[in-house]
Formats: sequence, C-alpha cells, structure tokens
Amino acid sequence: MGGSEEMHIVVVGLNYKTAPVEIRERLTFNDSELGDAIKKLNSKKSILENIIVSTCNRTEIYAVVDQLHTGRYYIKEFLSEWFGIEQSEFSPFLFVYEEDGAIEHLFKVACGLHSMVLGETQILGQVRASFILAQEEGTTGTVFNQLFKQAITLAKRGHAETDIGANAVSVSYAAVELAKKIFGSLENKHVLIFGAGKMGELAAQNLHGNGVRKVTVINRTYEKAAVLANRFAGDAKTVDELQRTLVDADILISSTGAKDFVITKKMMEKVEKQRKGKPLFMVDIAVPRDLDPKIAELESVFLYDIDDLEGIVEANLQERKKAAQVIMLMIEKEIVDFKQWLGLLGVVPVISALRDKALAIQAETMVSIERKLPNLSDRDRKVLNKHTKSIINQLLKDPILQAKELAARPDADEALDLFMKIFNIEELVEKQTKAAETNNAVVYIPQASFQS
Amino acid sequence: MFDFMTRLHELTVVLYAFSVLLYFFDFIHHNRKANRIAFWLLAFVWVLQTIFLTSYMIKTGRFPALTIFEGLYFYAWVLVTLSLGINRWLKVDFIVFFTNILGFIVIAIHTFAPIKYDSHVISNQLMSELLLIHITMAILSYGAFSLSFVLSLLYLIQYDLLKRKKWGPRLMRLADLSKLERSSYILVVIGVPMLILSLILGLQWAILKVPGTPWYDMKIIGSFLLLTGYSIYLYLRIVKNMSGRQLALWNAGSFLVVLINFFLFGQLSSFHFWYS
Repeated sequence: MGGSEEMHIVVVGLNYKTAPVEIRERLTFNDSELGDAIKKLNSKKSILENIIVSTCNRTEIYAVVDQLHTGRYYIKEFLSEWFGIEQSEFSPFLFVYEEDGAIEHLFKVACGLHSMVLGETQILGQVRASFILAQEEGTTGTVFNQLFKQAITLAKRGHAETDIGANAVSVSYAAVELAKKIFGSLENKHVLIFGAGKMGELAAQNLHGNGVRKVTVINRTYEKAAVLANRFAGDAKTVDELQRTLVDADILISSTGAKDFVITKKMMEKVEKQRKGKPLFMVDIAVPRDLDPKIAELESVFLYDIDDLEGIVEANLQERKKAAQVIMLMIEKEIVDFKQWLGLLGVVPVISALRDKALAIQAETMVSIERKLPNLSDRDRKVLNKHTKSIINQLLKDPILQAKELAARPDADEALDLFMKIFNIEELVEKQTKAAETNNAVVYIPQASFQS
Repeated sequence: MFDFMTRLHELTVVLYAFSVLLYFFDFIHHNRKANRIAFWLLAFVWVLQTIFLTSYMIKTGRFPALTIFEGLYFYAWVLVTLSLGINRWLKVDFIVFFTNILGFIVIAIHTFAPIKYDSHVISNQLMSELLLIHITMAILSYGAFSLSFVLSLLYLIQYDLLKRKKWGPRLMRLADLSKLERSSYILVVIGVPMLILSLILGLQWAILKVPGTPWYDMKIIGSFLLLTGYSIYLYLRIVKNMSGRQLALWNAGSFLVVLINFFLFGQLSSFHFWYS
C-alpha cells in the first residue's frame, strides 16, 4: 500500500454484550460456509482484506477498507444479504470500532478479555482458525497478516506470562481442582454421590470427565440412584450402606434434600478409624447442609461446603482480573508497535525505489567509466565499484532516515508525496507497490468508490 | 592458588545466599522472575561447588568425606544436586527453596567450621576404602532423608492450606498431597538401604581398625535409632497401610534424629574423629 492510498482498519460485529441470543443465533456463520463468506465479502467494493470470527458468543468482521464510511456500509450490506435479514433488524445491536479501537478490540478478544469467562483460551483457537482460513482463501494481505500474527503471539504470551487462565471459575471446576490438589490424578479414585438430584448429577459428570472411573450413587429412593449410577457405569446402593461405602470412597458429593445433617461427626469418627489416614474429600453442595461442619475437625477429612467453593471461585476471578490488568499493559504496547509497523509500511516501497534508482545510476556510471578507461585491472574495477557504491550509500543514509520519520508524521501522505517528487521516483514506487501486492496475493483491484 | 580458591568459595556462599533469598521472595510474593533468576544462580553455585570438589579431590587424591569440613561440603553438594534434579524431573514447586535453606545452613556451618589440619594425620592413619564408602553412603542417605523431610514439610504445609481452606497462589503452586507423600516415601525407600549398608560397613571398619569399640557409643546408638525411626515409617506405610498427616509428622521427626546424629553425636563419639 503506497503512502498516497487510503487504508483503514475496522471491526463490525455483535456479541453477547451487545445483542440478545435471538439476534446472535440468526447472525452466526456456519463453519462450512465461512470460506465462501469471506470471499464474497472481499469481492465487495471498498473491502481490501477481511477476516470473520464467528462463535456462539460473537460474530465479528474485521476488515481493511479504503474508506471508513463505505467500508462500514458494505459490511452491513453483506451481513444483510448473507443472512437474508433487514439491516434495521440487526443494526441497533452492531458495534463498530475503527483504527486503534479496532486493533485494541481484536487484541482483547484474542486474549480472552472480552470473553464471558474472563481469560478463557478457546477464543484464541477460534481467532487463529479464522485467520488461517482467511489466509487460505486469500482474503488477507500485508496488514492483517501482520496484525493477526501479532494478536495470536500476544495472546499466547499473555496466557504464558500471567495466571489469567490458571484457576477454575465455576463451582464444579473448583471442586475438581481441589480434588486434584488432594489426590493428584483422579483416575483410580472412588466417588460417592449422595443424593441423586440435579446437582449430584452435574458433579458426577464433571468428575467422570476428569478421569474418575468408579462411581457409587446412594439415594433415599433406590430406583433413582440406580438410574443415575447406570449413566456412569457405577453402582447404586441404599442409605443403609452409606457408612460402609464411606470407608472405601475418596470423594463424597452430598446434595440430598434433607432438612438436617445426614452425616454426623459421630458416624465419620467411626469411618475415619477404618480409613487409616487415607484422605477423604467431602463436598457438601446441599442447602441446607447435609454434613455436620464439625466433621472438618477430623484429621484426614477435607470438608468444603457450597460457600467455600463459591469463595474459591470469587478469589480466582479476582486473580484473573489482576492478570487482565497486566495483559492490558501488554496490549497497549502491541498497539504502539503495530502502528509503528503500519506507519513504516507506506515508506518501504519508497525507500526501495530510491535505492533501486541510486544503484541504477551507479551501475551506469561504472559502465561509462569502463568504456573510457578500458585498461583497468580487475582490482581497480572492484575498488571503483566499491567506492562509487559507498558515495551512494552515504548520500542516501539521511534521506532514508528522514523518509522513515516523515512516514510517522500525521501528514505522512503529503510529506512522502513531496519526498517522491524530489527524487522523481513516483513511477518506481508504484511498480514496487504492485510487486508487493502480487507477492502477498491480495485479491484487490482498485475500484471507484461509491461516494467519493 | 589457595587464596583464589578461598575467594571462589566465598563467592559461592554469597551467590548461594542470593539464590535462597530470591527463592524466599518468590515464596512470599509469587514472582516468576525471581524464581528463574534464583534457579540459574543455584545452577551456577552447583557448577562452582562441583569445580571446587573436583579440584579438591585431585589435590588430595581421595574422596572428600573424611573430615567434618569435607563431609559438610559434600552433604551441601548432594543437597543442591538433588534439589536441582528433583526440580527438573518432579516439578514440585518450592522444593528447591526448602531444600536449599537446609543446604545453605550446612554450607554456612562449613564456612565457619575450623579446618583442623592435624585431623588429616589421623585420617591418613585410619583411612581405608571401607571407611570412605561408609561415610559416602551415610551422607548420600542423609541427602535422601533431607529431601524426603522437605517433601513431608511441603505435605504438611499443603495439608494445612487445604484444611484451613486457604485457597490462593501458594496452594495452587504446591504439588498435590498424593504426589508429595509418594515422593517422600520413595526417598525413604532409597535412603534406608543405603543407611543399612553404611552402618554395616562402618561397624566392620570399627572392628578391624579400632578394636574394643564400645557398642554403646553415642554415634552407633544414634545411627540405630535413626534406622529404627525410618524402619517404623516404612512399616507403618507398607504393612499398616497408613498414610496422611501422622505419617508425614513421623517422617519429619525422624529427620530431626538425622540432624542430631550428624551434628551432635559425632562430638560425643569416642572414635568418630571428625571433630577432633
């Protein structure tokens, strides 16, 4: 992209914060159609590059456009056409960020700072997948190739250097994490589910998903226990067998609907004697509680109730928020870096054009010298070649530095225009730009814009 | 040359101190950078110590385990080596810190221990391969017990955090109870047979070289007390199938006997000339 050409970054989209699910579900791209969608969007006027990130929580279109207002217009038009919905239906739910705002938004999304569960990593995989697809389909160019690579690297670094994704932020995951801190691997552990309600089922599901193989279900009505046990290939037992089962179990999840404590300290004292110090993790997720809190006094029992688990979740969320602050600082730096890169982007073809021109002059001079002094030795020729090149390099050193400075100025376009005029390299620059664009396989043919 | 070696040794001690301080800082504030720097400092200390030990071995032409001076240094080296190794293979956070508090105390005692040149004379008279292997094995088993103790200590800390529901970065970074307990047990399993062999060799040496050794010598009694302590630990664990906090406490208690035996009983012993 030459300095004279306009170029803007824009993101148009909707997510769980801006749009209700009824709107979101109608504007979600199918995975299998995403490739066609970005190709179609790229054939629109004004769109130079584009990448679409589409998940159940967000649909976001990132684009490089030649003019902001036309870019926005054609992206909305595309959404309306693709989903067959009137613009007026979804337009109020759209957000649009431009330039720095768009860059910042992408960085935050990739790092999981805009996710429902702060700091989750799934979104990074989705951003990466969208980027790779767009590269394959040829809808990215110099700008997005740089920007998205930077976003993905930044997000990886954010997750590696902070604890943003480290700890559980839901009650059932907190229970699993605690269990892992006591037992390490959960693979050979025995889980006793006491109370075959919804909560017990959820907990069993979660532990089963984390490798627990042996599940026993105890319930007041045996039939309900049998049904739940069946789902995890476990055993069902009656309440009479509770004490005996507790001797063997490693983890107890209790969620009966009882009004009083169903497991007393007295009962657990007997159980503990037979367990020989083997740790027992007891989780009481029932309200009112099932387990007598005095049980916690027993040495090998780790007793957690629903408030304890919620406390852990809250503490973890605070940790994540702290990490998010650190990542925000990293994001600001990346934005500055990207803008510097972007600023230099226009100047690259100018500089190489200037170098090419100078080298051509030097080569001509050498030919002319050799014609006039035919008796030069190889060594003489080498020395002359070296020194004439040296003149050029020294002469160009300051102009090149100045060109880079000019590119960072707010009136960069005009300044670079003047720069090119002084050295009379406009045509060369155009050639350079064209060559760069075909190298990057940007499928863009400049078109007359719609309003200007 | 001697002066250079002394300076080098002092540098090692200072670097070691910095490393332990940085580990402490990491333990309190959870600072990854401090942890990384501390690790590399420690690795450098290990290199220096290894150079020191090797050059000493070349100079004296024997294994450096005959005086308290040498023994302490070798013990510290074993601790640093084990802690670096465990840190690489087991990935148990904080183990390096706790092991090296111990290691640093040992090296500090070593630095201030008076070098008695005359003890070399005795050692030359009574030296034999039997004795060397006896001492080396004993120090290696002490190394294993030290690490096992640190793991039990970490177990007790983690147990306490879980019990008091002190959820936080420290609890997250400490390894799980099961792993701490198992590793600590394995190290005792390694340490006990080494200690038994060392005791057998030591007794054999005493019978051959120092006839009339009294059986009630403090060092002998201490060593067998130690062996009994760890044997009971293994018995409780393997036969009685016991686990948990009581066992960790028993292991920590046994290590106290190791320390007392290493530092105190030697002075009360009639034929352990380390302190003479």
